[in-house]
Amino acid sequence: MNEHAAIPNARVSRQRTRSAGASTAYVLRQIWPLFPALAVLVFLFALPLAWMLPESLFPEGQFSTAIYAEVLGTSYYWTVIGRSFWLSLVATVVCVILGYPLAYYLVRVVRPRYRRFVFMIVIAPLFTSAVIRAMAWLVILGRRGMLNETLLWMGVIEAPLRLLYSETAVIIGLVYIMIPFMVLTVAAVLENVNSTLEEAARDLGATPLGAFCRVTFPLTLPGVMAGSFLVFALCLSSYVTPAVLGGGRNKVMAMLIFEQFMRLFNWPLGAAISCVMLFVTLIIIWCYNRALARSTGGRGQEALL
Amino acid sequence: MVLSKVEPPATTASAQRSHDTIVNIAGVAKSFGDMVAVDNVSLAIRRGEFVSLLGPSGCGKSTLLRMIAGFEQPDAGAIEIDAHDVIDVPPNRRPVNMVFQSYALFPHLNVFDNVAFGLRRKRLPRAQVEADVRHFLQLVGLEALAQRYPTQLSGGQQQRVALARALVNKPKVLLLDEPLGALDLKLRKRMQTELKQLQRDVGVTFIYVTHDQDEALALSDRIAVMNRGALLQFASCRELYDKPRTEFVANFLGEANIVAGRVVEPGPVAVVEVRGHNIQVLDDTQAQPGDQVLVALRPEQLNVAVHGPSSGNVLQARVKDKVFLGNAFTLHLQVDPDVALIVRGTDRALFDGLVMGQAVAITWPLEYGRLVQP
Repeated sequence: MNEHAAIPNARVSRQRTRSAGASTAYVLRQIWPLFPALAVLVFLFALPLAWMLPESLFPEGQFSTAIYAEVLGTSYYWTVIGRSFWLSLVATVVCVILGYPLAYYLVRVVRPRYRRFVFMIVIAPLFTSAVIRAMAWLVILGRRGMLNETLLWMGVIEAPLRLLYSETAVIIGLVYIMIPFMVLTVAAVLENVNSTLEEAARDLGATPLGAFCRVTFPLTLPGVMAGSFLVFALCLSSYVTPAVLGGGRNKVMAMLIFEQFMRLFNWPLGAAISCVMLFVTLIIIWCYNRALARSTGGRGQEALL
Repeated sequence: MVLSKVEPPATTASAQRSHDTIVNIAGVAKSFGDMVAVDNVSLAIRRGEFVSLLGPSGCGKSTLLRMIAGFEQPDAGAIEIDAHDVIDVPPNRRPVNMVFQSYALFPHLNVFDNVAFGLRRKRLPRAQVEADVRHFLQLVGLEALAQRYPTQLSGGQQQRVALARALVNKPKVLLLDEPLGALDLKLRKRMQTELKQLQRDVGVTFIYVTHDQDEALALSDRIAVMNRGALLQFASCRELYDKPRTEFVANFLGEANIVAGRVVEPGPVAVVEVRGHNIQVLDDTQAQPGDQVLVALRPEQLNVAVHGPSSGNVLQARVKDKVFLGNAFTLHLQVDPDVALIVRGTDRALFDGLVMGQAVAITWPLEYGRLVQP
């Protein structure tokens, strides 16, 4: 078989040598489909980001780390940073716990004929504005909201629970909004895991749960990882949900940054907080990636990023 | 596969008891919606036997295998393995193991861990797992690749890992679902030989699903021919080839001339009228006078003579075409505008002597002409 494979290989390498002479044209021909996306990223993401650093480091036209010293030295900012990460982490974990079974159900239980329909149901909430969806939770979780009324009527509780304007409310709202992203990401990976592998595991003596834990779940780990990143990043940057459901007390980073930029017009401080948050996020992602790569024997890494 | 000497497992001794049934399938039926996949199949497989389930795709052979493994529940009928009813036993507790068509190796585990999977589910001591896995990897000649991942192996190597992974559990029956289907022809031939050798060495009963008649003939002690969910005939290779009961079996195993005729005289040796010629054929089907019947004649069992007998068991024909095949030749002979027979032979002098349109007589020993059911 190897001698047959050598022929197309030879052709490819010849092509490469020829194109080496006109390398710029060749590279351009290869990467032009990237340009539109690249342009969007450069103008809407990279440039504003690049602007943040000088904005925070040269507050009055002169280099100064005073603002960073202020951010890092004030416990209030650390509390908000900590709360942001904590809420995002809990919401992500809940999304995995609720989203994985749903994705499994979609891919392995729902017949292909109905699958598109069920996918639509999962995605449907995304068609509504985040503001409206957060408001809907106000109605449900309020002091005389649907949940409290129902529980009172059933006699489960005697006085209405204080659900709204708490971290719990924020987490509920975040999970509700983020779960489609988790489900879709996990389902995409699960679809590519051959169900014969589960049969093979059963055949070799594994119980249904054993087959799942030892075969299916490890193989969908890249999907869980990608979904977690997505949900975590979206939670961390979400503004509306914590603002509406958390009340004024449970401030998160996005609210703080918004405040500095739009209400207090302290752009250097807003930029500094943004940079600190980006930096901490990158460190967390890097650690997570390393930990997972080690646990999957180095093969998880190629599946993600 | 480097076939080192294996200490004979317990099953080899019992394989000597020839009529010891290991798998008994009785009246098993299975439908998927409107589609009948397996239709009232009964089959008794002996201990230590190599049995093939042979038939075209969609004939129900894989479904039958999956019911033995426990992946499908039959709608009706019983399945017994080693005298135990297994209908309500889940796949993980049946004493059988399967080699899947696409091997179904676990891509996140290396070769060693793939093979060790079943042993670890039984919670065997670590040292024994290690020893058993090494032993079976050695048996299939892959001990050097224990640390590789499935994607780093060739098709043939993956196949061997799948075999080792199943056999290491010492199953009472090994189920193989077209295990050589994904390999190229040359490798397939080699694996056939190795598979047969392996089966002899480990003494385990093999049930082998294939649509390839040559593969089934090369490997099996007995073959069960299936079509459209039904079991048509279950017999040794020789018996299937020499005494096909139906037109389908006659055509599926080897080549056959199928000629339509009418019964003149019934009996174990029936007289059948074919286009004005009365010929004698063997009949197990108890056809009645006047019945429209089919006669099967194997191309290589027919003789052609320029000056043959004009009466008796003979068909008169004219040469329509001659095809030289190197080691043999094929003659297309026209008995009648509607009836043409194919004859295969190796007699070069005869072949060279024949000219197009020449009248010849086709004869055959009595035992090679046989009535078959449509």
